[in-house]
Amino acid sequence: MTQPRSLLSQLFFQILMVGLIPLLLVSGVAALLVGPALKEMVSAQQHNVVTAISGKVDAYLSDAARDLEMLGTLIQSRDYKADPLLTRTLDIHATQRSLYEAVYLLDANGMVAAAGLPQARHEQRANLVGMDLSANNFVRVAREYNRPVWSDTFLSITSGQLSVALAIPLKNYTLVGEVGIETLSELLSEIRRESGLEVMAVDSKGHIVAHPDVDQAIQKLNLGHLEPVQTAAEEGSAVTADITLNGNERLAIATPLHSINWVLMASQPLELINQPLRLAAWIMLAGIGISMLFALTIGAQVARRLAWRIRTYSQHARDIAAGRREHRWPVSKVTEFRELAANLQRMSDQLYRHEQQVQASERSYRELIEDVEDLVVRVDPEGRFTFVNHASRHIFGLEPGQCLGLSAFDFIHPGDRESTEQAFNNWLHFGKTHFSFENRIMRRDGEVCHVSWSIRVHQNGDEEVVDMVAIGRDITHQVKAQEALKEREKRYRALVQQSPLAIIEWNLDFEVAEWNRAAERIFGYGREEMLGQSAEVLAAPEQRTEQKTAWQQLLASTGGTRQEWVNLNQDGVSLTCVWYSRPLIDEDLQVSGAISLVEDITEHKAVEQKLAASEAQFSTLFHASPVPMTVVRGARGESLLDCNSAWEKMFGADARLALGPAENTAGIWIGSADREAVWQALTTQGTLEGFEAELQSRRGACRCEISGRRIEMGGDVCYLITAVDLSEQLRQKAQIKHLNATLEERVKKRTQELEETLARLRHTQAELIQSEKLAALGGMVAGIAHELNTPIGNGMMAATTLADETSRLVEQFQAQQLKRSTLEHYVEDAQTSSDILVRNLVKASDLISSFKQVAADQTSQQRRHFNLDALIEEIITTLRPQLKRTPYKVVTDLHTDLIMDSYPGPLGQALTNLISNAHTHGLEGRDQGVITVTTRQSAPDRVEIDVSDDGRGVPAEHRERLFDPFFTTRMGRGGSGLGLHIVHNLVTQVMGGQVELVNRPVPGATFRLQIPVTAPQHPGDSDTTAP
Amino acid sequence: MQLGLVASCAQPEPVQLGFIGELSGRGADMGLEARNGAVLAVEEQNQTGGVDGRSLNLLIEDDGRHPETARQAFNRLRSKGVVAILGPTSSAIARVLVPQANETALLLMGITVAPNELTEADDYFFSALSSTKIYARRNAQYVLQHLNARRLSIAYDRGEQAFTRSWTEDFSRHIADQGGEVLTTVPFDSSNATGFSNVARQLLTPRPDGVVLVAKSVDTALLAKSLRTLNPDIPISTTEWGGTERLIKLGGRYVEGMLVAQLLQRDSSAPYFLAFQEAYRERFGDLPGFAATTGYNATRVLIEGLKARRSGEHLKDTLLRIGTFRGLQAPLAFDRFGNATTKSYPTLVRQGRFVPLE
Repeated sequence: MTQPRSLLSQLFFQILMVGLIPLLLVSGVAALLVGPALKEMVSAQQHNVVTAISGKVDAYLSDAARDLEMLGTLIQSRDYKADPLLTRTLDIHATQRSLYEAVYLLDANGMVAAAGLPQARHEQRANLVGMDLSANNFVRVAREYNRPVWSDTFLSITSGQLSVALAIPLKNYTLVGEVGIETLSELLSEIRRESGLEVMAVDSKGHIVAHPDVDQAIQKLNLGHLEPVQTAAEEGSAVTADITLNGNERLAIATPLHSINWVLMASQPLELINQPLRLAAWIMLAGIGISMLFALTIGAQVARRLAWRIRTYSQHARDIAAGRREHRWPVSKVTEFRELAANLQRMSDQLYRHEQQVQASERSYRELIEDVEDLVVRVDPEGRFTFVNHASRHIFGLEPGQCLGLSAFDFIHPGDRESTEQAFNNWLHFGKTHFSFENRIMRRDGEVCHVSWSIRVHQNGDEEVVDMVAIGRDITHQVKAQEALKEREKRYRALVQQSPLAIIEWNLDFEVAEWNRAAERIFGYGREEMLGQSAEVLAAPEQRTEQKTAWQQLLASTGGTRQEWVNLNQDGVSLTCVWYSRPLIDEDLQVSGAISLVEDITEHKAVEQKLAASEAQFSTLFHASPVPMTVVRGARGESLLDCNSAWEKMFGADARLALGPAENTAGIWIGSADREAVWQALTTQGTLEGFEAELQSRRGACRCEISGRRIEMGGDVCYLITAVDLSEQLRQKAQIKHLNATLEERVKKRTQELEETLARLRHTQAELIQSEKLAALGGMVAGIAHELNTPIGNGMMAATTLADETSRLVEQFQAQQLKRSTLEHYVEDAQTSSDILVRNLVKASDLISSFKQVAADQTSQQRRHFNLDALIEEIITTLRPQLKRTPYKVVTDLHTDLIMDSYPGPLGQALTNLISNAHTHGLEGRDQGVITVTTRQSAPDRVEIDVSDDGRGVPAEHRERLFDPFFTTRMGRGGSGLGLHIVHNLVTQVMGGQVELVNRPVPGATFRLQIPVTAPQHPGDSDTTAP
Repeated sequence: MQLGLVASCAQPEPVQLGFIGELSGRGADMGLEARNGAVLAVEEQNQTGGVDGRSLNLLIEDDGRHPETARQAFNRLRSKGVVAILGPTSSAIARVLVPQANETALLLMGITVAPNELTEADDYFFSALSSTKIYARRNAQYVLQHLNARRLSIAYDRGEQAFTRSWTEDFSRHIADQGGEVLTTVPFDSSNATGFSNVARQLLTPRPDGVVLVAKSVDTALLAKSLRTLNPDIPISTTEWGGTERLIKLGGRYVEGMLVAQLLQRDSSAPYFLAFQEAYRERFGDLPGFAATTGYNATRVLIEGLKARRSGEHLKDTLLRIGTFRGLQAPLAFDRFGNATTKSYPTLVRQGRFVPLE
């Protein structure tokens, strides 16, 4: 739906459109038609200019050609060979006719035989005569085709001007005339000044040969790529097109020349052509502005007057609706407005008559309503009473007049107010206009009154509620009676529902009429599910017929029955239930159905059965036991209650006789004292454990272990007695005794074998240790050799240089050519060389001495005094060459400065092994790593040396076996598994210290050596020597 | 709508590129070719979308070989906001413009010019050619090897002293080093009024084995004519400078057998060069000479520099950073002073063509 608009704005808008649309249409048409027409006009003008210029140029060049041809005829007519007159004739042509810059006569070989020049340039003649111009195309073509040919433009070597040349073939010569064309550019420059047209001449290669700016012509700019130039040259006719030149859009026309293979192109900026169009556009815009101004002033005035008149009639129409009868119609000259006024007046009179009739009808209607018993009210859309009849006294406790204006909802009982409002809103929402409901009304005196309402909603055309009429009837008495009945029924239902026994009511067909919660619990069926179901559903299939008969009999009987039946619950599980049933007799003494009370006794039955089963099981266990067992009763076991099969097997089939029921019979007893002792213990202590006695079994006398317990069974004192045969146990004991006796001898033999194996292993280990040492030494030697190579190589070089220099000096000295400066130079060189020599030899010597020290120490196990920190530095120096090729660093942190009396060789070996271990195991495969060696005095007579790396560390599962011989994680990759073992041996056995892997929270591994400052004495120690 | 009331274009401002060269006068053939090479490079680049979406606009100025004209042209270009200037094409003008370029920190990319004193300074002058020294040495080798001449006379253009004098000195030193001898050096003026026969006579007086001409093409042609008129068999050699197409047009039979060092391998079958040659002929109607090739190369170098320039970076630093550029025939490698190392090839003129010797 569109937004309503005022008459004023609507009229104003329409007037504005009437002014604007024609103007816009005219603008469009003008833009479409005028533009192209204008362009065509300009193009035509360009064409005219170009045609005029081309005529001029053609005339100029034809003139020049004609002149040269005449000269040719002249030369041909006389034999000018080597005639000084020839040069003069040519000079005259070059001077008098300003057409030519120079005229050449070429001989048959294309060489300049004579040259005619203006007076001022005669001095150039010597350079020109004799030149070979045969390599120029136009000369060659002219000769070959025997016709005049124009050249491309070129810079004249005589005048330095842009020129073209014409070659005319003669009998033995070729006549060439050079024509300056800068005058053409001057002509074009003038045309541009006069007409604004930019005209250019372009030669066959596309080069500009004439241009309003002479410079541009000289620069031989190429326009061959422009489309009109190409097309004009190809088609030989004038072509018009838009081009882009130096970034400007231009309209261009190109036309070919007749006398020479050139194209003239005239062009004008499009910008200039479009100027009139732009002016027209501005005029159109001004027109649009003016029409808008008119619309704003005159249009607005007209619209306002019209709108005022319509508003006046609208005001009168409102008065008519409000019931006013006197109107003063505005005087108008317009027929339509007059008719409108008359019609409105007629409508007003008609309305008045209708109103009178309606009032009479309303009166009679009101009287009718006042006589009705029921409450009749009318409420407005806000719910306020606009009419109430006399029944308000009874229902609201107020006079009808007092109710008017009050809100109907205020009388609704607070408990019903919300639901009533909601119901109302729902009905209205779904467009219901007629509905009934009940609620409670709160009288003014506090009494509650139940009212049944019937409501009618009146709506207007837009479906908005105008008012509602309601008729209410007091139903308080009916409601209270119903409530009492409901309360009673609820109590009975609770009684039945909460009964612990299932209560089922049957109708005459034995279908379920009532089913309480206990029934739901027992049978698993819900009440709703069972109502109307036959009793058969509950019966177990095998009892179905039997139960059916019983039900039929029940209806005939007067008293009740008690039956134990098997039933099925919903899950198909069978239940055992006790049914108490009797028929129901109604007030007319007729049987109307039956009632059953049901108790589920399934569980009870199951417990009974379980007990019996357990008893049977126990008996089975007793009889199946492998231990001979019997139960007897009486103070001395006179009567035997039971015995198991093991007992029967051992003591015979007639078990009853076994224990000797009578005084005089021995039974199984061989010694009567045993029998007395057993009974003595059982009767006094009630228990007997492991009594050994000789008993008479079926296999003869055997030694048995007798145990017993006093037990009570069914109030009687009984005894449970077992007898275990000990013969087998005794036999096994004897056998073990024999084995023990021979054990020692076997152990001795095994030990001997193991000792031999151990000896072999020790030997192998010693060999491997030796080879490991040699391998380490070999690696070190290679490193040292590499390291020595540099200083010795340097020394060598310096020495050779020095030798060379010296011999050169000697030569010069002997030849007595030695200069002071040479000697100074030599001395300087000699100094430098000897410096290099000394420095490198010292370095080499250092390396060798530290290697010697370590090597000697490691192989000799010599005991001596040494400075610990210095020794460690030495060892690391010897290792550096090996480590230099790796990305890892070795740093030291030494704090002892202590003189030790120990074995430097083994210590060095140990440290070397630990460092190389760190580098091959801890850091292998990493991009960087640091190995740190630290020393510390841990006690007055002990030092602690740590070798750590920041590598991958030692896995927990390897820690235990780290120092074991042959333990390696690099088996098959060069690891012998002896490195750390050697360290361990050297530290513990030679130096008397300990080595361990320290647990540290940082990544990597740390080996810690604890060594006494003074090592223990070993046999074969030589005298200690100071370092 | 043709009314064009609100025809404001959203196209970005074009990048302004300057060109200064000798486009009129006796030696204009080289300048014009160099200009054509530059025009072609710029047009090609604009067809592929310019640089960073901005088109290139080549502003061309003629120095007419006058220092003052050149100076004014330089200032005009600078005021139009050019990012660099291609040119000049002659040493005399280079001497004038380089101080101005250094003062204003505006990059000058010399095309057919590389005088010694300008190529060994860290300044705002770049050159698409190697320095004179290098070419002089190569020419000496060519003369000794291919002209079979050891005793030589040299004529050089006095007007281009900046180039010709130092060239002649470097050349003579190399000839002397190799056991040859320069008998005489004759300076001359490049002018229509010069009596070239006199120059030729002076050159031939000490009876040399060969004559070396350090001159532009027109003068080389005229001198060759005078020399060969006096001594038809005298071996003649000329520099890269004189070896343009115009030499053959004006020299005809007199330049037959002349040894001409060329900066261009005319018979090259490098695809990049062939494509260029075809495009050039299509656009200008002629085959490109060395000046056109060098002009094209120099312009390509600037364009590549503009494309690779980082914000805030001077174009000079960009070019030095990149260092090596693809040339039409061989890569252009700039040294730290901004000189390209380029090759030259010896040729002999045979039947009006430059025929390569190596």
